[in-house]
Amino acid sequence: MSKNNIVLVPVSSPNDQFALVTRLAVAEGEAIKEGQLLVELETTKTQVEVVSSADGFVHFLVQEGDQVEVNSVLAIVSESKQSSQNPIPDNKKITRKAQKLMRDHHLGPDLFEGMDSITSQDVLKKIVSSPAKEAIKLPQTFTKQNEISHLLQATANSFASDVTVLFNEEKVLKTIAQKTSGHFYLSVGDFLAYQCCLLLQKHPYFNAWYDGIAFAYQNVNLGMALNISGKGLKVVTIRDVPGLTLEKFAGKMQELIAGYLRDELKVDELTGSSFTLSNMHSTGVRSFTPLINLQQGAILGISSSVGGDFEVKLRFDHRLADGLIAASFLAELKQVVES
Amino acid sequence: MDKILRHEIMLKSWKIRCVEEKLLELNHSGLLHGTTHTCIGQEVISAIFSQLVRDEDQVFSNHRCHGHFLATHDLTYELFCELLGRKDGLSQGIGGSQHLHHKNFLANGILGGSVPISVGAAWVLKKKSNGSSISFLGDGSLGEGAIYESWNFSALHSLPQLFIIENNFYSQSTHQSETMAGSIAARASAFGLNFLQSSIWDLDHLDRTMREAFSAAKSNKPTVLQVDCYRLAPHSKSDDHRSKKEKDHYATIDPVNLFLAESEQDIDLKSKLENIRAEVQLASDLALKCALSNSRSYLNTPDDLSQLELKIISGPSHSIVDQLNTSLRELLKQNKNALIVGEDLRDPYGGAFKVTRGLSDLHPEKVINFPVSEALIVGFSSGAAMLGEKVIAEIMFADFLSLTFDQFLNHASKVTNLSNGKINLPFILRTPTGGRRGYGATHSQSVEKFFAGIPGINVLLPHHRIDYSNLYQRLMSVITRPTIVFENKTLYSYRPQELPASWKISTGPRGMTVVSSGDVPDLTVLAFGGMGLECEEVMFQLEQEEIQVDLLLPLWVHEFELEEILRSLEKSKKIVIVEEGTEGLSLGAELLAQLHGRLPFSHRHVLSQRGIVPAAKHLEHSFLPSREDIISACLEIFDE
Repeated sequence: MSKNNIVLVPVSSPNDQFALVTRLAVAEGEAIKEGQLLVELETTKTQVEVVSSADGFVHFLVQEGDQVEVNSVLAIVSESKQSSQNPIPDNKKITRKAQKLMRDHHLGPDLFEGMDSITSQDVLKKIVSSPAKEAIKLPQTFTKQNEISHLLQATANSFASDVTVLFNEEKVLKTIAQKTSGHFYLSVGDFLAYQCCLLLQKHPYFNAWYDGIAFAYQNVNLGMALNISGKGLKVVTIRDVPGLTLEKFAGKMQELIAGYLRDELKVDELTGSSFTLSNMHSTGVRSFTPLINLQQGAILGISSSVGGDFEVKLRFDHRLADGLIAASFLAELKQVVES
Repeated sequence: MDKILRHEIMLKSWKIRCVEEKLLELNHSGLLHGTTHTCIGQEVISAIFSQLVRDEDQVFSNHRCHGHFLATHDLTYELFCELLGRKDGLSQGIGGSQHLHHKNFLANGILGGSVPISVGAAWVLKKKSNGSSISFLGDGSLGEGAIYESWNFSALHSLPQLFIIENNFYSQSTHQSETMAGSIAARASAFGLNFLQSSIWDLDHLDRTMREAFSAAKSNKPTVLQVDCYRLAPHSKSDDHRSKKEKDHYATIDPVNLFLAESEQDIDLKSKLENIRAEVQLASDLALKCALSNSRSYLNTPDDLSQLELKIISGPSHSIVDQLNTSLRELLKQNKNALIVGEDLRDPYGGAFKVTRGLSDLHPEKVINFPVSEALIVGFSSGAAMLGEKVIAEIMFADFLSLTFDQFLNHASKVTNLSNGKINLPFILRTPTGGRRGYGATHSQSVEKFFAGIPGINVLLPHHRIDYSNLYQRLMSVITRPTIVFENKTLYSYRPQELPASWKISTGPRGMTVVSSGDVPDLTVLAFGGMGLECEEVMFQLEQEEIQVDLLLPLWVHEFELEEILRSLEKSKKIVIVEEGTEGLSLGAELLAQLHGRLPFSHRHVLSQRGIVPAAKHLEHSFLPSREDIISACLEIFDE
């Protein structure tokens, strides 16, 4: 058998489990050179280019549009034009049957770390048992899958508690009108977000996360959860909000929303938030419970107005604060935005 | 000559002429389908013959056989029925004019082709010390090589044979001066055959000479009798470009015409002649009234070999060549009338592959070394089998079967159908097949496919796990048709090894052996002949990859056991067919065509490319299907 060179899905960001195959740059079976572009991937953050590390003939194991797990096999670069469908990583004995099962279920050899040999029994154990007959599989975007893996890792939600206060719509709008003097647009959500960030400077335990010990962020970087026009849930980040004027903040927010809608966000616009706000103010939702993001300690959820009032909920990691502290935080916030 | 005898002979000749003329008439009026080759002008030969031939003689004739037939069996009505395709025909219309079969009479349209068969018959008649084997030939057939193979052997073994050559100087439209070198006499004497000559124009002499010929044959002095004559009618229906002058001349001296002229004066005789004419007319009319034949005997019904009940070997055993030797030994022991024939079989040599070692020492009269005459070997086997001998013939290399093709295609495989099921030819022909020994293009082929397509013969391609020590005795007791057994030569030294305990091996009712490495096959592999062993080795390797295989090993290839195959294919949906023969009308292609549409499946086919088997070892290895080829086909289809 001829030598094979394996091309894996690279790890582009520490938090990404999945990537989307957007383009196969060469044809199946084509002769390629070392360094030549083979595959273009899209992660939650960015586009990634995968090149070949050897000369040879390329045999793809994926198609355009596939969602692939990090470290799974994209392609094999083989010395021979015959495709041997199965890469056998040099350090493992994987039976042909096991390889077929892995391929059919999109499992990469890295899932069997530490095993010298892999049989079909080993693979079957990894495959999630199929759901009950009445259920059908729901397709999930890679973004969602990515989100799921983040949530699974976010231990804060295991210890979360929340406090809710009602804010008055009219009073908040009046305050906004005062602040903006009609020179720029500022939504209720954006206004609350800005004021919340200023307040967080005085309440560092909500701008922190727990990982055995409590770590507080040095800056208040706001994460705004966006999920509009079918673009999927993304958290756009504005760094060091207290350092911006309200007008600058509002402008930045508009920029980010535009960038989100055009799929043109950069990595640093999608990462690095220390506190998240989830705005449901114009959705008609009366009440909801947001989930705390990975490596954060709290999240603010804003609901829609019912009879002139709307819910503002602070959900927080109880290891960092308690209900009383949260209540006083919200009370202070209310006072500021309704003044 | 005695007047009464002479009249008898002439009346008989006249009857034959009436029949032949009637047949031409039926032909021209469109009532007789096909063609006839009348013996008009040559009848006296048959008429004298009819005085001398006995029931214990075997008579072989050619396309111009009506006279010979009527001389042997006076069955005018049945003859007409046969040619008119009626129920009462000799073979119910299946054989027709050129292929008359009845009891001890056999005619075939291939010139010279039945002469080797007559030799086999002669051998048995000699053993019985009763009867002669008589072949009618035209001078035109003396171009065929099979005749000389036969004459050589007949003379060598002093067989009770008579070869009557009706020398009418023409071969269809070609005069003898264009086709024959030397003389017929010289041909006979070259082999040391007794030679006699006469003509139809001296009845006395012809009668005396034929009696002498019969007597010589009977005393094991094989004889060639040349009878000069002239065919008055065309070769078949109307093809005749001979000069009118010539034909007119012979018509004036034709014995029957002369007799007719004579009878003008004799009222008694004349009325006898008219009665005979009327008799023939009546027979013809009755035949036309007879119901049309509804026989299906032209269809081939292969032998039901499921009765073979051969054991399979799953553990250590003797080498296959030893098992074969045992089987032949047993066969010779159990059968008084067994015969093993072929080249170089006798001790001390014991056969090219030593399969027959020790046999001639034990049974010297039953093991016969033949000259290098392959067509004769098969024809001989047919003739001897026809008279009840249990014949196992060997052709030294399967490649040489090409020289026997006519005997199988046009004679052995057809006799049973042509005789409407009355005559069986159960003989076995065994032959070493396959390459991998560097013997080169004409000693390494796998030619099964060329014979598996002939309707009417059994073709076996046994694998490495059958119990060869019982093969030939069992086979001989079960077959009614000629049977070819292709023995893979690389398996001769193979000793069946034990299979892993977890594997299963079994043989179905239709002779297919199945070796399974697991309960549910991922893959079905079907291997023909010697390739079965390679595939079994591959199964081990695939097992390391957790790929479970059903290995199907068919025993015969003249038909396929589709049920057995489908049973496995239902589960695996994938089949790899492996054979050693070349691409192009291969066994596997036929199998795939038969499997197609019965259920969805994918396949791979491993076989040799179209080409010749090269002699050099490494080239031979890359031409013939290798273990690597099989593995890669299996892995490829598994991954789908």
